[in-house]
Amino acid sequence: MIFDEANFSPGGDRYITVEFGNEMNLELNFMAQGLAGALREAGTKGLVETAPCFASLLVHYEPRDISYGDMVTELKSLIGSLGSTDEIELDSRLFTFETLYLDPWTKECIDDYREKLNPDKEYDPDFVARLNGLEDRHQLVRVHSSSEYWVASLGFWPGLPFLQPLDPRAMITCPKYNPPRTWTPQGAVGMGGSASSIYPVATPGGYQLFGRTPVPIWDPNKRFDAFEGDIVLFRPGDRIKFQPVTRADYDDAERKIEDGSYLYNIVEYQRFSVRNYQSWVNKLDKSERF
Amino acid sequence: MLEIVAGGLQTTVQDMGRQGGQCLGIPPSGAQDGFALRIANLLVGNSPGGPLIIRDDPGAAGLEITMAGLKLQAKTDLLVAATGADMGATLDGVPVPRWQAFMLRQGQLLAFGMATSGARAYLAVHGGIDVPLYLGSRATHVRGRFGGFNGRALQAGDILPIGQIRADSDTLAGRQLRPELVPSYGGAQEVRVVRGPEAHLFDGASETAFYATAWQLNPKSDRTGMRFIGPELGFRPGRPRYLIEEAGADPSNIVIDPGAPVGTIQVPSGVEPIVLGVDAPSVGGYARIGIVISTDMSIIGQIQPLQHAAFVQISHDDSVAALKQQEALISESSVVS
Repeated sequence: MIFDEANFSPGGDRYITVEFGNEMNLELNFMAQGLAGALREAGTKGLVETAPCFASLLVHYEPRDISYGDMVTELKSLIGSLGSTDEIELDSRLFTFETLYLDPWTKECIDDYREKLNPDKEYDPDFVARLNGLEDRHQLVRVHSSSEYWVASLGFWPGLPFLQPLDPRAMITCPKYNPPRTWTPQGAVGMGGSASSIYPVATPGGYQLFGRTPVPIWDPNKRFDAFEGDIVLFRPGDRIKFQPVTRADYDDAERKIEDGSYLYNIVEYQRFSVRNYQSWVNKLDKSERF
Repeated sequence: MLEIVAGGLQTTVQDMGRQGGQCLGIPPSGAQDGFALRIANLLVGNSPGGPLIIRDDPGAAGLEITMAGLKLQAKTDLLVAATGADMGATLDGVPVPRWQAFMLRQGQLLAFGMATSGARAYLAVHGGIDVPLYLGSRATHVRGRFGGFNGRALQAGDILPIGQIRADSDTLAGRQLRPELVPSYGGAQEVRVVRGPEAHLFDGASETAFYATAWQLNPKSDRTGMRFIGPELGFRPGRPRYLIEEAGADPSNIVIDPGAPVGTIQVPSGVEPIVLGVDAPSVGGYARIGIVISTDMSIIGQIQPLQHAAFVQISHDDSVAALKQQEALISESSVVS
């Protein structure tokens, strides 16, 4: 549900969790990001930093500069000034990532898991397709690559995006691995619950895997200008499009990444209007699939 | 400059951590026991920085020495102070006092043994360890391979650059923390906690047990998470349908990953509460039974594997009072010469 009024709770002596609701609804994330922007602009005394989560905003403040009660009052007033969710507009960059769906590396990873941990584990793309009533793994690729994805929040690993499809016709869900995998290739694309993600580095993991991108989203050596001096690529409110490519295109992109000549495909001139988004969504027949 | 002769179990460059990264999934890092590092910096005349990640002042960077084994040699005369865990530090074989500034002369060997009480020792150097800033901090995040000295734990042969040294720094030798303020790390530790936003999901008996238990630190703990061994905690029956649908049947999973800052205590599947450390990412998917108050993250950082600790619930007002009280100690009034 979406709460009528935001819910505030103290997290220890220096954090506040502002919850807008408790369901997987993008509107809640728009509110969290809208409030983060309003706080930045207000320059509230005692504010340290904010971190949007899917349906809430974590506010870090300095309790010696502002009390919990005064911070809550300030947050309520800012939420009031935001108006309805429709009014929220957010800067939003669009990233396009070459993605090799049904790739050999995640297949190898799944095979390894089957061999060592769970022989009954169905091949992830077939499993996710079956669970969501899709024809086969090829329709999963069509459906998954049909939508832009919204960077709702980042966490678990520096720069790891928590993604939701903006097109409701691309909404699919699946459970996470149980037990989790001990390794996942860097750049693996997969999902758990309704969230998609890209693995920034090779780590253990629990998402169902069905593709891989060669494009780094984590750059501790700061080789690429796209990171603007940072080591992580994304910010909350960015959008990502997975572009299905052939193995030859994948290898070509990988070569360019290795020699440093790779050009990130980033569009920066757009603003995301919640009103425009909602009116588009309302026109769609959500039962349709690509 | 300082030359590392042996890196020990894990020694890293840390200050009070970086800020502004939480929305990008970048943890604050920094000293797990901020109090010990800040006192060490104070003793050697460095900026101690703010409490737990304050922008623009992460304080001077020093070394965080985990459990054992660091050996280093000065390439020039340096004023240093060792605080935190007792690792029986010696200077050319002669024991040196903890919580006191002393001169490390060119060529002298400073060696740390096994921790006999506490888990992390801190070494501050007048001038600070001068590695490059990343996001406003010199703190090392080992798993992410960034910050600190080449983004990693120190190894034999590393040469650490030292910042600006005042000509009269040797006059600060002998400065020490007032003896009554030196923390004791032995025995059962008490860690103060503010009730967490999802504490109501646990059944009453389990929440009571959480505060009544003498938990033991799981040796698999690190700066990302400190896990505590003890009884299994249960959840109230009647998990709402939306939670089962959205987050699955496991009662510790909450529907949407909430913010989980440093100090958050999560109990995945009711087993082994995990206190998120300074290297933890900012989101977590489990019910938050409590949050360790920021001052007591220092205590958490000093618990040895299998040592006992109890969680004590306090009010939010008391947690702020504890912070103010500790901040008042990070001052010259705590130092005697």
